[in-house]
Amino acid sequence: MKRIANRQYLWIGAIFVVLALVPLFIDNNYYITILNQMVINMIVVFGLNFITGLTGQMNLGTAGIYAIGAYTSALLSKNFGISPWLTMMAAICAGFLLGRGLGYPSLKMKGVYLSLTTLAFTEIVRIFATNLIDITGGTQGINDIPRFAVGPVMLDTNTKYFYFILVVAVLVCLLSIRIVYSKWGREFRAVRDNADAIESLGLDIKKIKIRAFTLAAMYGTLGGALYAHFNSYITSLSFTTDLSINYVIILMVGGIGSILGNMVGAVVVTLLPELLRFLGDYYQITYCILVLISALFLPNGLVSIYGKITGLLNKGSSAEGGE
Amino acid sequence: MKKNKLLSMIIAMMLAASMLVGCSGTAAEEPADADAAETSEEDAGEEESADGEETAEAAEGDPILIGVSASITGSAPTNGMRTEQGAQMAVDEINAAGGVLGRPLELYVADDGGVQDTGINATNLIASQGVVAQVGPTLSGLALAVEGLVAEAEYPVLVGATSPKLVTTMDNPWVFRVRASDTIQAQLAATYATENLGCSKIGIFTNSNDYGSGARTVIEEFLTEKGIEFVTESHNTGDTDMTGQVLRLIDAGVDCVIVWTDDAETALAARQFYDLGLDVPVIGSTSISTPQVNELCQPEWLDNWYSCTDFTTSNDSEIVQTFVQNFNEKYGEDPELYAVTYYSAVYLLKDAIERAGSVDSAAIRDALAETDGLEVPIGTYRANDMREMIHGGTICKMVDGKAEFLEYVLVED
Repeated sequence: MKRIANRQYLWIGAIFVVLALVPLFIDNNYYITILNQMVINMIVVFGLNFITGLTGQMNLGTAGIYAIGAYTSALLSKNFGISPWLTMMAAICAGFLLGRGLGYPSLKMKGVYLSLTTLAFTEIVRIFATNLIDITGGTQGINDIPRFAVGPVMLDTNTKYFYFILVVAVLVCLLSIRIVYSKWGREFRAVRDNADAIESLGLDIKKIKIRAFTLAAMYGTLGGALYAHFNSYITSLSFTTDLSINYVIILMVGGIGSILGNMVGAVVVTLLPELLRFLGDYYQITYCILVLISALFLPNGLVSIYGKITGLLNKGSSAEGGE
Repeated sequence: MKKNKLLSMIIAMMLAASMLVGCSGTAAEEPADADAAETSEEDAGEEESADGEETAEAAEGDPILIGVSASITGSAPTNGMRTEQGAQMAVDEINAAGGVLGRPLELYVADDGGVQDTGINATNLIASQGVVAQVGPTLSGLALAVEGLVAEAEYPVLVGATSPKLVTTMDNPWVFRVRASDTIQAQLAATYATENLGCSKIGIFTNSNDYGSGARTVIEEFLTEKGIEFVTESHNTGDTDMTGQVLRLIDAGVDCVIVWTDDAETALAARQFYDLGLDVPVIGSTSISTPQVNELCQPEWLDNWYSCTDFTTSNDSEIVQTFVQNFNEKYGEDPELYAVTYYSAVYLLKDAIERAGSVDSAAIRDALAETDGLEVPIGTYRANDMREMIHGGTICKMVDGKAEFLEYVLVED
């Protein structure tokens, strides 16, 4: 177990290093923008991993959570001139409140009912954002959301911004690893694996679920805030159920419950639509087929390929008594 | 243990290498794609020139690259297809007639998917191809999302977006608008009601969403300025009954109603106006002239209805009829708004490049800003200070439930 964990860290580190190196070789706004989107997706999925990956509760409210983070930070920084650093903190606080507030009523529910509640939440947020035109700008959105500065360095180019969110991503990744291998993480997994056993040990399932959900909401609002300041423009049209589903796809394609899987999923699912551009009209059907294939044949995500390959390699080496 | 670590390191390195290769691989691939498109287009160009060799020489030399951001996938793929067809048809015509500055035009089409992230990526992709200008996107949200990118990339963009916010909240010298904004459409309705129909007491019946209320503000301002009496009523999206509002309009004794709302509500208004006997001329937004709405209505409901719209194939002017006929020959279907918008936009670019005398983006931008009176199928292009190109629209009259061209009306701005 420990060795698997160690090897996983190596891979996680490798992915971050590679991501950090890419802008040194490619100075093209198109690729840099995709990298930014990729890392933001990664941060959101690290959060979703707690509730859907580890705890096993299907959450389709990510788009709503993400939207709340984006609007909180965008509105506070644009309308009140507050530093985006503080508004991002505010967004994370909003995530905390949201996790708690939404968690209490909805996490009593199980399975498909929880999915429906969270789905409804996303729709409610979207409809509010669309119709509160005086506040959110409706479907025409909010523009001129300020970028911000790290000390003396203004994050005015996408490359600089990318390095900033990469650092944020590394930090939240470390936090995730810490949580996954702590008591909390074990409790999350226990809820997924055997809820009855947990109760027999005197632990409160609801509390554990709410904790996981709150973490997901805080990561989600952070991602939303980073997204708003990256694009400088947000509109309610972006925060649809499709977006929530896209995050579940990232989770699933990469590997549910695995941090490395989240990262691989974010890289692959963000890149895939761009790589499939040459297909034109056939892009969507190809994309869907690829996702379906991955769900059918790799139910544990792309990271399970790695396990299979190393499994084969180890078979060879175990013959020498290496294990 | 040691061995395994070494192995993992090697695999990690390989992954790193493969990712970099993967990235540069796609970078190399795209120009190759563009090349393929180029050769096929050149072939097409040659074929056409073979037909018309006596009259015009086909353009030669390095092509001038123009980006197209079109919603080829997503919720409205037909719009993207028509965008591409319209722009491509203009390019083919221009190339067959000798190109621009002796060079052929070439399109680089990127799919914006009708959503923000894909749209941003599409424009970035277009920018990285070294285009001299871009046409599209059409959705206002996308246009607002990419305006910062094009300001950085410094090339002119002709958008078909109509939101007033594109004018009111941004000042970007690179973004030009090639369709009438929602405000102009609303102004058009008010102008037509007062000046052409001679009405003196106008009912304004609008949706409470930003589309309807935006138009209402414009119409109210216009009528107040002209000193014409009006009453306003509103409804919400999804309303299934408008009896109260319609009866109040009848009580107020209006002699014309301007209806500004979405598709389903327009059809409902038509029915209830007819049922409740509100028998005055009605001027509606563009939705009433679309087939999906007027098929919901009985022809007699629409007896006294007019519609403000950007374009109709029933316009009998020569330039529109030639365009409609050529489009039909090429694609076997009637053109619609997206096709005519981007067909016209490409001709606008041609005109600007010729007047600028170079393919320098800044020179093209300045030439675009000086556009004055270019006749194209969608109307007459004339740039104002806000870089809006269209200042009028088409009024259609509903005849037997179908929109028929009545006249092209210009508004003051």
